[in-house]
Amino acid sequence: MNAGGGKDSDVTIIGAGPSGAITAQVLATAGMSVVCLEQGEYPDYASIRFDEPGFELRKDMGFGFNPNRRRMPSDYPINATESDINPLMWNGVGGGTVIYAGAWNRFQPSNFKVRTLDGVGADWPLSYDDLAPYYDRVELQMAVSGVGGDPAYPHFDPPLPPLPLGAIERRLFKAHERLGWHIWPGTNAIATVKHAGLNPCVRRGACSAPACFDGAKASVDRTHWPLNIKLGVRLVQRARVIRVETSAKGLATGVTYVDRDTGGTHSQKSRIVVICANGIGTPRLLLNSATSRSPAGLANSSGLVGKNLMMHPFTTVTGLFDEVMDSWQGTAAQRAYSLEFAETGADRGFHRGAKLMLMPTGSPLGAIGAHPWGAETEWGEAFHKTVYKRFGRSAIWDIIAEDLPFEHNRVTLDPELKDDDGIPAPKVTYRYDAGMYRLQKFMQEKAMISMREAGAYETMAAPPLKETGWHILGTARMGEDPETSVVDGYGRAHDVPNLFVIDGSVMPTSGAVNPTATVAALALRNAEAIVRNRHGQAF
Amino acid sequence: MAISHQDVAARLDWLCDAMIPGDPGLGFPSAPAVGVQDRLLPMVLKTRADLAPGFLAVVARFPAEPPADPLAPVRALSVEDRALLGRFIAGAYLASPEVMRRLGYPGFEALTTEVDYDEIMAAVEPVMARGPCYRGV
Repeated sequence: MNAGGGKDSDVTIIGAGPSGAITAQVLATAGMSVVCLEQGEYPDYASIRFDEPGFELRKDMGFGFNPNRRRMPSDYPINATESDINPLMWNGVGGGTVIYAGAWNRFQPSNFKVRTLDGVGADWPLSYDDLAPYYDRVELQMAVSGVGGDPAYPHFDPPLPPLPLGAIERRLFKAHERLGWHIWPGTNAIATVKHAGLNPCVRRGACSAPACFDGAKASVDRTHWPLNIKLGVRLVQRARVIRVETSAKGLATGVTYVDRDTGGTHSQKSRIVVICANGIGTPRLLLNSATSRSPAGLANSSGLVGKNLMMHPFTTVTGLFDEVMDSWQGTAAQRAYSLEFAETGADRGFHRGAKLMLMPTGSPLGAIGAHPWGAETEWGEAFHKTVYKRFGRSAIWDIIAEDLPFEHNRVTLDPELKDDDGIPAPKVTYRYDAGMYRLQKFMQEKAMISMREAGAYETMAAPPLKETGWHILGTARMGEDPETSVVDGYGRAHDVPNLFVIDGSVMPTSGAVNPTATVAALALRNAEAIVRNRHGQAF
Repeated sequence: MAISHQDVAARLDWLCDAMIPGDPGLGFPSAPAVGVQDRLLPMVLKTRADLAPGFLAVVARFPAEPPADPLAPVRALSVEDRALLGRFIAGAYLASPEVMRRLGYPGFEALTTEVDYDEIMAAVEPVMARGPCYRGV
């Protein structure tokens, strides 16, 4: 059932992913009336079953990463023909947390001062110390498990105990001790004890689907929305927002949306509008909300809406070992990570760095494809030898590279492509820069050294990968100067004081780690600022 | 007119054997030996009814009788078509309980291993001993 919107609210939130869920909880707890419009539905975890034959073949149905392939009714098309990376997302209640691995890393302090330290990118209008208390609190909400005291950060302790070490981790820890390189047990938004409505992870490995069927991964459909509904948040599913409406004074008055059940168009009026629609959906909506007063798009006097798109270019190095290491077993999140090369190093020929993220290689069918092995399996007599080498005896260093912001990497509106509701669709223009190629080559060489030191008899660096745009950032940058940013340090649009952007769009730089921790901490911080400042406003 | 499994059964007979022959050295049976054609492919075709027409269309382009080099037409396929073909045939083969057993793969098994904190602390102590490794601001 569509819960139905209609009644005016204090706040309209667009998007029920992690930032929308966290924002809704803060505002509703403070007594504000909140309507959240979500174009998709709750995930149907019963739609595929890991204990049925054929699960391996079905697991990309419904929970696949790429909306252009998945084509669920909740998805909208994205023109990515001029992009080196395909953007990936999940449109529904829970958003990206339904399909993320759960790898959870804070940004390091230098990530907030990239321009000052390295002369590239941009500085954030806040520091690590400003965000640290919010990391602490949101990590409890998201059931983050791991080991405290990682020397790659100012001290903090993940609230839940870690997963046990496996054979893969043991090898890499010993290797990095010999190399003198940083390595740390994985921190993940995956419960290891019963917590926040989640069950302890049983490391089944079906999470390669990539949804969690055991209720252990912290996706906000499980961690936040049950409480949000109890708090009175009105969650309207299958509600696709067409545009943000504004008054003659330039204030947001609410939104217009399509009810996907009926095709009818509705208005949701509110005193505050918060967009939580990810780094593509958010600029798409702002650009689709152009008026005669804002012909280049809402909140776009800087001209930066949609620009500075960052998608974390991603590559891998896979190692083959003689030992069977149960590398099909979960969790399919990070088993360990290394930030040895995350900071800028002298004479490397590029700025910033990357995270190494240790991953298992999955079930047998995954052994036949080209990724991450560098080449698809050969058929005939070579088939069994290939599967035997790859399956169970392998490990992957995922390499997440810090992506720098460039205005030519951007989201625009496609002049012809529209979604099923006739709303102009986004076009993504994204190209690697020369520094990124150097960074990836450098990191692949380091990852190979690591794997070989761990005992790998063969290592394989992935060819350029396109299907890797999990992290979509930067397209509504925050900053203190309205001429060089779209929103302020609390997500408030410089041009529209009762319009907020709370998602990865606001991040001025991308860091070298998975961004959900920072997106979630920013959501908590910025939502509390809305509550703090709600009185005495002009709107 | 839609192509059925029956329409391409003869082609699949030789194709499955060519793509996944037995390997006595490693102890793996061939695709025909575990019933890929008879029992497993029907399950896969049903499971991925959305992709099945594409798979059957690829198979229908193969000759009815095996050529001298039966893998040559497989190598000649586009990357996408070969991936689709491989996904169905290998997907069926690797779903065989006998093949899973020989691989040592128990399927999606729940584990409840106790955490060994002593082991974890021993692993991280050398990292901590080197001191902070983030850049000051």
